[in-house]
Amino acid sequence: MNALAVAEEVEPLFRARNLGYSYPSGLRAVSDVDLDIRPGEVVSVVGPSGCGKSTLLSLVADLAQPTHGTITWNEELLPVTGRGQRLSMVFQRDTVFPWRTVSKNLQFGMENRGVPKAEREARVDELLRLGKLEGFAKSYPGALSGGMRRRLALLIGLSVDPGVLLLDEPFSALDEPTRIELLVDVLRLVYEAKVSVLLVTHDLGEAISVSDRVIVMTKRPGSIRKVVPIGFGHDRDLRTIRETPEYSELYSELWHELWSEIGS
Amino acid sequence: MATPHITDAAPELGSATSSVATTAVGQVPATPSEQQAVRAIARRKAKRTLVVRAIQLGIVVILILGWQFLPGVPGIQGPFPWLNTFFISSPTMVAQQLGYLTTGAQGATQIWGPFAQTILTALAGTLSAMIVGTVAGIAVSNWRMLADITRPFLVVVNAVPKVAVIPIIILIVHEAVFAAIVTSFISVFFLAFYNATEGASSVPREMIQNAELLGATKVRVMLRVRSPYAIGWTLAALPNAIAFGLTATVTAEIILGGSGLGYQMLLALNNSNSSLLLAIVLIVAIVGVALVLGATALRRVILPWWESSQAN
Repeated sequence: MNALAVAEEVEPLFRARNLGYSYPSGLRAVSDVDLDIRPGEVVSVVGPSGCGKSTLLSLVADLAQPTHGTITWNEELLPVTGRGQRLSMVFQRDTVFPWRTVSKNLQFGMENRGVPKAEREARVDELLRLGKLEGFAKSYPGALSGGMRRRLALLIGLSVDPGVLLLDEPFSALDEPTRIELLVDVLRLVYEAKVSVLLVTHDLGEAISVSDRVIVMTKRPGSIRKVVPIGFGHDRDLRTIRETPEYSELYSELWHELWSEIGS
Repeated sequence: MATPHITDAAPELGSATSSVATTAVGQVPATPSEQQAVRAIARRKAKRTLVVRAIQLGIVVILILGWQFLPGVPGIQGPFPWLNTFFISSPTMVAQQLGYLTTGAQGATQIWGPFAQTILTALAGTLSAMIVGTVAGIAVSNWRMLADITRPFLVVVNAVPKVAVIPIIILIVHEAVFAAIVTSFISVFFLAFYNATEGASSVPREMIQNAELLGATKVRVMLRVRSPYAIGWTLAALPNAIAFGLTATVTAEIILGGSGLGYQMLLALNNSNSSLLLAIVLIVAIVGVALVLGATALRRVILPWWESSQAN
């Protein structure tokens, strides 16, 4: 049942209940999803293509309004005032501003929140160091490689100290070695920032590698078919994890769930 | 940098192929034979460039020699009546006129006045049109209602050849210089306007959503996201726009008379002085090339990000 997606013991950052979304045409994209995200938790959503994974992210990001159910944010843990904000998102498509330098791109969110210049620049230095982009502060994004641009997009997401970082297949356009390298960095950044992550991906390996829980969705209208806990903890080593028997078992389990869903 | 050269050179290296791969991946210094291959490719490239330049130069020389000497070939005016110095002048005569024009010798009008006049007119028309067109384009793309209302009018006005409007402009604006500015303004305005609306409305939806998630208000999205995007598109068209503006200016000057290089062309035409006419055409061509090169350089200064983002 749905309650499987909900962990009871820690206060969640937000609670989604009976979440559903229908297009104006009446086509139902998402149906009856219950989802909680706890602080520091990484949750992945996998499912057949067109199952409403991205729509689910849009609902959480308030880019689309749910036609059923509610999302309640934890005002105590995530007040909307202060430097941080509730969420930020890394889109599948490149959203980095080509007319702003790397440094200016990283400052955009802080500018919007009225953070003083000195503080912004200090934060930019820190982000560049964390994201291994030192020396590129004054470069324009056009001069960066695909992997570096994705890393920049991620750092922009982190620049506003979000409670939850939404990732919509952010690495799907990268080749395998670049993706693994980036995932290692992402996990490090995410764990250090203690940010919660909701990742939509079509890559089961990616989902297992980074997540604490993987949610398998049903075909459209997408609802939760199964929630698979991933017990690797936050000191996992992405480079070796893939060779462990646990990884293979989890992969088989998810693969089986996904294929039963597609075949049903 | 040297990687593609090395790949090119691989067939020549024979058994050295495996060490080539090492050079491309790890920074192992190139072996003498590899360095030799790289140099050979560089030499071939330089040689090719040299051949291209030599052929180009040859074409220019042949054209000039033909222009100079073909009218003197006995009987050539039978099949080609236009091969006559009366119509096409000759390089030496044009050069002589250029000398007179630039120095004011032999009682010729010094060209510098009309020269500056035409450049300033074209720049005034083009730049004001770029600014007004961009602002209007951004405004229209931000208000759907305004876009829907104005669209049919804009399509009609844009389809009318701007030169056809010049007589009406002179009726309304009696001053020739101002009329020429208005003409080039109208020609360039639509180019700028279309580029700006196109640019502002083609901002990826996700880019705007991301800006909003990063805390940008509606006004900020317009100023900080839509506008730079639209300005990028408009300024990218600056070299084209300036060429448009110059064409419109010179055309207006020819039709209106009174000032500028166009007016000087009209005078030369009225005197059937083809040498003078061609000398002025040459000056207009130089002005055109200079303005386009200037606009390209300006774009690089204002939009340092544009070229690298186009490459991606």
